[in-house]
Amino acid sequence: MNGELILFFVLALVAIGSGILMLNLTKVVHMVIALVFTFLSIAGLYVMLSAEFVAFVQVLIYSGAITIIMLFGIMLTRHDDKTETKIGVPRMILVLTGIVAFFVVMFFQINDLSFGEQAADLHVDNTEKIGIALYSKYVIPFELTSVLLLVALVGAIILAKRDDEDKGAEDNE
Amino acid sequence: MTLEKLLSYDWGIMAPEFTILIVATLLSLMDLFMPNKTSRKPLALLGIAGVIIAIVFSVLQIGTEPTSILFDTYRFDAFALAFKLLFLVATGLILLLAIDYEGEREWEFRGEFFYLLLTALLGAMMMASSADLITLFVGLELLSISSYILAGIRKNNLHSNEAAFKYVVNGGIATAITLFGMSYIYGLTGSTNLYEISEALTNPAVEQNAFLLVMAFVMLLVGLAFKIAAAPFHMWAPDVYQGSATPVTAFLSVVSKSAGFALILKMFLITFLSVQGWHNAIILELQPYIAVIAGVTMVVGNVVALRQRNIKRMFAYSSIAHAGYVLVPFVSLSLLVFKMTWFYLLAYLLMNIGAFAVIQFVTEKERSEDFTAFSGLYKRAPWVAVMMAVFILSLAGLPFTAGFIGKFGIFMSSLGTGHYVLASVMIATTVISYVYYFNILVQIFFRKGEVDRLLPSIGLLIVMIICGAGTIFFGIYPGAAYDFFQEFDMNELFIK
Amino acid sequence: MNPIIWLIPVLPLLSFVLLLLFGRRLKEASAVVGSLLTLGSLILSVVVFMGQWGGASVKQTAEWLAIGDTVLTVGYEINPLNALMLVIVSFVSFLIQVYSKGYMHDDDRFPVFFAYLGLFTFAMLGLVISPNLLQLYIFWELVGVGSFLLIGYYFYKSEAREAAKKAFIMTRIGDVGLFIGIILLFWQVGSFELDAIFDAVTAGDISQGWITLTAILIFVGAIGKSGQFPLHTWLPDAMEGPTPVSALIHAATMVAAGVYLVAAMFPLFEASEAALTTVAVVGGFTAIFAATIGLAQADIKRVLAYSTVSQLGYMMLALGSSGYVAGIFHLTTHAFFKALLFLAAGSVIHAVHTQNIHEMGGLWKKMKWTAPLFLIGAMAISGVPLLSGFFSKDEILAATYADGRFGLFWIAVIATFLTAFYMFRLFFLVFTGESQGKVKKVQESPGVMVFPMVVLGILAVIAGYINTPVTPILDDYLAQNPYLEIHHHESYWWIPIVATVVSLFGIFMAWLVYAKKKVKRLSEASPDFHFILLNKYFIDETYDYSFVKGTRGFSYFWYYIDRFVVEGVIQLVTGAVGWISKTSSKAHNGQVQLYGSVAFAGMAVLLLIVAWLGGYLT
Repeated sequence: MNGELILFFVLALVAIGSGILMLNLTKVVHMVIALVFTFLSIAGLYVMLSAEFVAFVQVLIYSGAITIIMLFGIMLTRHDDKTETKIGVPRMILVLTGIVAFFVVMFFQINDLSFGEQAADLHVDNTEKIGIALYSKYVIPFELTSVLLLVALVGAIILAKRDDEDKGAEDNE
Repeated sequence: MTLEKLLSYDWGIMAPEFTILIVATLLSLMDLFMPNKTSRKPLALLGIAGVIIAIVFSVLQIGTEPTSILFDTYRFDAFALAFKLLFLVATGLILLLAIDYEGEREWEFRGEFFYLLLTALLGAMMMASSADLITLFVGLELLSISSYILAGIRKNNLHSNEAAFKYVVNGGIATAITLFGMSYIYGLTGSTNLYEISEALTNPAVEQNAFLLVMAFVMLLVGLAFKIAAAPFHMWAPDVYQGSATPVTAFLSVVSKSAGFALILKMFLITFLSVQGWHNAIILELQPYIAVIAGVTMVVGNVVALRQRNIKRMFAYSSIAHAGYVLVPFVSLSLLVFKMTWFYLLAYLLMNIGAFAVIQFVTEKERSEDFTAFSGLYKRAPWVAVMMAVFILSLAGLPFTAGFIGKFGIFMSSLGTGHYVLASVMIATTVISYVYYFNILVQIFFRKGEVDRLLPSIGLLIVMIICGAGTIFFGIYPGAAYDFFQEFDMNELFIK
Repeated sequence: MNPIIWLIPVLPLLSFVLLLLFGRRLKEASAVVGSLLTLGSLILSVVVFMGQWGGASVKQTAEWLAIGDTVLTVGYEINPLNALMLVIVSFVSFLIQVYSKGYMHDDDRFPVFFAYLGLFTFAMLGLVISPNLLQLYIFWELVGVGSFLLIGYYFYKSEAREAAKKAFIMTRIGDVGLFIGIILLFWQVGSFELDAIFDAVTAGDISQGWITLTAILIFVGAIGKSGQFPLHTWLPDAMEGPTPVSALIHAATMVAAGVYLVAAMFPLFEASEAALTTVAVVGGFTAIFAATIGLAQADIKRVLAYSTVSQLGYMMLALGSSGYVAGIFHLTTHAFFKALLFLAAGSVIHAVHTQNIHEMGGLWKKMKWTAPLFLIGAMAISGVPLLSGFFSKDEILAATYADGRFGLFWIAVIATFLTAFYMFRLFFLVFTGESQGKVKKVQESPGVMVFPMVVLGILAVIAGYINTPVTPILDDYLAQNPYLEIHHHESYWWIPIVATVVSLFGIFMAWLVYAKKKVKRLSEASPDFHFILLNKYFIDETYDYSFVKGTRGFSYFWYYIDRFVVEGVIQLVTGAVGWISKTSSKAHNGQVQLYGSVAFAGMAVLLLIVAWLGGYLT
């Protein structure tokens, strides 16, 4: 067992463990913290896959921006919210069956995997390559994504804005 | 890549998409600068104008050679055009519906509705006209996210909030599954281009991992089954359809669903068939499962619809059932698959939007979504009642309506390819569906209701007339639609 | 394209459209518009019919749509059989529209009624001239829709609504059978064209098993439409519709569509002995089964309804016994006398405002036209010699006997007796004796209602002469169909005698039982006849204990079988569907977590199954 594998297992366990913790913790702030751990360990996994740029973005946006906004949101609203855990036995069994089945299938898939030769220079000029691909080959989906983000923004405003307020709040778009 | 190369592409072929994008932008700006308490309804007219321009562009494109921009991230071909026309026509009709929608006090001032509908349409159009997983996925998400907001746009309505929430959560699950499947495919083939994927599938290194490939396609299928609301991934649909404003429901049940079908056809058929022909091992292996999904969808949709009293919920289940019917030609793969699917979607578009126009009319006048709101409609608005009868008969698949021709074609194609069980399920569930469709007719014609006369507004009337005339016309003379479809050479889809 | 032919169905359609559009303005004039257009169809039908004497079949088709290699066509075909049907349908439809003008005069939805009649007539005529099975099926469904609208015409009565619904669903069960049959035939032959199918049958391109299967499936469709056992229960309930509708749909046209279908597809049936036997047995059983139920009904229209079921059974029996001509012959005569009976019954109901025969009585003197006409109808259906029913029924009996189906033959003879008995029971209870009704001032119906009855009455008398052993006109006429072998069986001199004796015996019995009070009073007045009267009393007693009670028990037995077993099975199926529906809609309780769980588990299980069956889990 080499170091890489050990690192992988550690990161994977942290990611999954934090995910489960997030679901089972009762305080909202605790959940967010658990979420941060998941995000960070996933970033670690990206680094292991020679995807530094993605890892960087992951830390910056998910662990940073998103978590902070969530915390703000919780602070600014009632932060003593607790979840009510009321899950019936049948549904537990249902979900458990699903997870076990999914795991079995996934395990067999990955166990059998053989990729042939692998690209070795993935880490070279990683960011630049992404940039070039994004702005040349994938410019159409890229632009479409900007429409998508705009829609999401407008949508968030529509749903969050109070109606009796001045309509000017829409200036944000 | 140089700018010169970038400009060398025939960007003009994207005219319909650009039109929609520009109109959507214009609408959002106009909405922004309009005084608060001014009715936003004129925006819809602009939206309709935009849709009509896009339709004109599309019609002018008929017969154009397949065109690819930037490695198929945008790809124009007959398949894309045929489906885009459906989306455009449907959205135009839905915009007409939306003008006269009077859901709530502030509805008039909800300009967002109109441009979100257009962005959703843009997403759907991109789903039809790309051969790259990334563009397809972004198009899917654009459609989905716009739809989530549309579902929740009546934010003072509890049902609408619930609808949006459920739609987001379920849509999120679906997206995750789809993306997971796509990542597998990319991982195996090293490409996001559908044609390159198709070629890579013949590569021994990829063939070795057939298991992974099958799993990936099953996951894609499941993810997209959410979009078309096929069982067992349909459960969100009734709640969402019921909670949304009626024009949104019509949009979800027609455009969103048709886009899902376009994507399924495109993704599966290009990857499997463009290189390897019609008898691909993997698709043959997956066929029984699709057949089961189609069968279960038909049964669940029709059977559960029997017990619904809320008319929109009933139509949600009906729409689930129709997704099952449309899956049938996909199971019984033959060259007819495009023709059958397209015609059925056309018929479905006409009859369903027409039915929703009537539903909107009645539920608004009655302030009730219970199906007894329809009682005595024949006395109150005879022509609307007759139209509704046409739509219902068409949905039920009775002769002289487009729905019959559509269903008959699907039925024949499934028999022709030897899928007798599926054909029998289709017949049996169709018979079950008569019962609930019939109940509505009984309410309309045989129950006594209020006595005051009802008059539909102009917009609704136009929608009903267009849909009603279309339903009957294509029921009596389906050749018109089939001939028109001959203009589209579906083999273009398979030519890289 | 010969405009004469395609105009036949188009004229009633035009009437439907015109009345739907302008009915409100036309009001009473709707009847004139509807009747005149139908009269147009009738005249054209007669022209076409005349052209068929010695003329060859006419067929004209145009491409409708192409699915793959299959080209579907629309068009029309005229052959001796459907030319005759055209005349019958348009003729009866015309008379009934005339009659309805009087019958429905105080109804406020008068134009709608005539619009529906137009739609129905259009569908029926379209059905008859269809050259291929698909077109036939489409019109077949449309006939169902028209009938549904007409049965449910009094929609404010819950019985009418239920009856309409029942009729639609029950016939639909049969339609599914028909549809499957058509599809299987298409699969075997590759065409929906009747000619192509018959060619394939003649050439032996279809195996015997397939012929039998498809023929029986098509017969299932006919069972539904023609109210044969076990799908007959809708027909008596359908009497909730207006009486002219009962006369049109449930006597002369729609129910005859099933018989017509079997006749039109006869070359297919003829190729399979098993299919013919099925038709004969179902027909024979229905004939006697419905006749026994008819004995115990109190509603005048229900008696006629069961009688219709029974007579349709006769026609099926004839067809199943290779008596092609006999079946069509009886269809023709039955259309006239049963329509007459219904119209006369309608006239009675119109006058006394009740349908219960025990509340009628003594109408003979009050209804100078209706009563004799009803008597003519009753005599015709009972097979009194020299009236139309006598000849056609003899033909059926002879065909059955010649085909060697002796059991069915005797069943048919018994059914003849029962028919005569219940028809005259009806006659004596309604027209003789003392008035039991509340309405004292009974008036004869207006001339517009009497006229159609008179015309039908004349036909009920003379229609039989188109095919007597001496004048086999219909025989020769129908024999022109190239795909048919008309079996000319020898005539049995004793069959008419037996039939006559049996039916006269039935009438006599009815007289004894239901008019006997008169006899009794007579016996007290003239003791000279004491002996005879005693004897009669004795017969009456025997009859009362052995026959009336016996058959009544038998009748109720079947009635309950009908109500509880047959309906129960149907209830069970609907119940099962309802249960599934209930359970699965419970699962949709609105919890988004549950939806997610189900979807995820669904996907995981699907993946597992795919992996398992694909053999990847090794």
